[in-house]
Amino acid sequence: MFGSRAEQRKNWEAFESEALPFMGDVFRLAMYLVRDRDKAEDLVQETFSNALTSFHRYEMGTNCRAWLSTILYNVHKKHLRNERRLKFVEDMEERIAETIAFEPPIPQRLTDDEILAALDKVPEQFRTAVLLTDVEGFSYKEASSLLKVPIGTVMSRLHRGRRLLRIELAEYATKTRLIANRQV
Amino acid sequence: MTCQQFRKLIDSYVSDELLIETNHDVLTHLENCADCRNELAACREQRTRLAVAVRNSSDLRIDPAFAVRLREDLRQAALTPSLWEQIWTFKAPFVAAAVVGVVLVFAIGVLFVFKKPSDGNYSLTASAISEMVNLAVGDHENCAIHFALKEKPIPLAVAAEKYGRFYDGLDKTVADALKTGDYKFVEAHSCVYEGQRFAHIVLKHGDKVVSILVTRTDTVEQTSPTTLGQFGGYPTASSLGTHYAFFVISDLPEQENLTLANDLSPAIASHMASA
Repeated sequence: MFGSRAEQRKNWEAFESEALPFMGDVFRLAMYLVRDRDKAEDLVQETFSNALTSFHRYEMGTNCRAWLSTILYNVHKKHLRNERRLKFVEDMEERIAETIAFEPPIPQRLTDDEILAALDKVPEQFRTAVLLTDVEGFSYKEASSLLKVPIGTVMSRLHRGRRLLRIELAEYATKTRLIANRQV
Repeated sequence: MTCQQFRKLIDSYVSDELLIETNHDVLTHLENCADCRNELAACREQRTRLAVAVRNSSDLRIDPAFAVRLREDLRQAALTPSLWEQIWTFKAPFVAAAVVGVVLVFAIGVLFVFKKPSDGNYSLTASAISEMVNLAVGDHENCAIHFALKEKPIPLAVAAEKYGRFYDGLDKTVADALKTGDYKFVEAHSCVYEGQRFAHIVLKHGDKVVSILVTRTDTVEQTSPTTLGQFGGYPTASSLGTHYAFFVISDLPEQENLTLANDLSPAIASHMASA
């Protein structure tokens, strides 16, 4: 950012007020991606550093959180490519049959940790769709842009993610004997 | 609306993604169907409890000490003057003297060491061309796509003062040469990737990112734009001119990428000749 001192300060103040408030949200997203605190911190550091360099490209007043999230996903993909960990993944959608006819009730007495443990059992593609929309509040379009998949795929993954989570929660509750015998 | 139809829409309804008219149909159905109302309540409850569980999780919360450190690192990076600025404002006279010294040594070295072949013509070898293309693609990916260059880009006008007149106005040349209004101008600057400096104009065509890259080379031969196929997954077209190479790199279809290169090549050649 070549410019006068006053311009640099003005740019920094704008970045500080627009982008830095989302540091926690970006960190949480990074944790979903890498599941390791140290790696997540590295990812967040690089994301915000790139965002600062490119802040002149950001249109003030637009969705800064989505913009930062896009940078995060791009940085993460670059790291994966460098580590040669990108692998061809079969289309999971077609391998999980739509056999969920029974919609179990939501157990009432599960703790937050138990809910998160159930979420961990949902396959990653569906879990990510649920986290981005239900927790982070991204729209279908924003999630589609982040994940680089069509909106229809986001909808499909979300549908299955929610259903699978429901099943996991019900099984969790069954294991802790919180759901009454079905025959009663 | 039937219960089956509602069940197909329930996810989008909960995510607030339905059109207003469809919402109205959903609400009408819910007024008369207790089962669907119960199912909607269960879906919403799961969503709420999940969001609460995630946001309450200390494992997913940023370490406050890390946040403070990162903020300070970013502030330093944003407000610390660059080396060039320190030299310009005479805050680093010794650094300035050292830089001048290095430039002089390099210039003298170039004068004594650099010799044209006797026929005055030379062209890039195949491996040199390949290396140049890889550098151009690397710049496209790391600058235009990932915003991840180690050295910050500089404005074309500044690059013109420091590195050569051809940088000045190259963005206007490209803008004037674009034959359709389908390309949106994003930005123009000069950037460096792995030691190679480029003039870089970034365009967008829909959601596709396009890089127009021009760099100094040793070539004197003129070539028409040629498609080089896919480099790093990006369709790449290139042409050579007197002391420059010009690249168009994007994720457009290959033919479209080449058409753009053909449209811009005459204007680029004219610009470079007059610089």
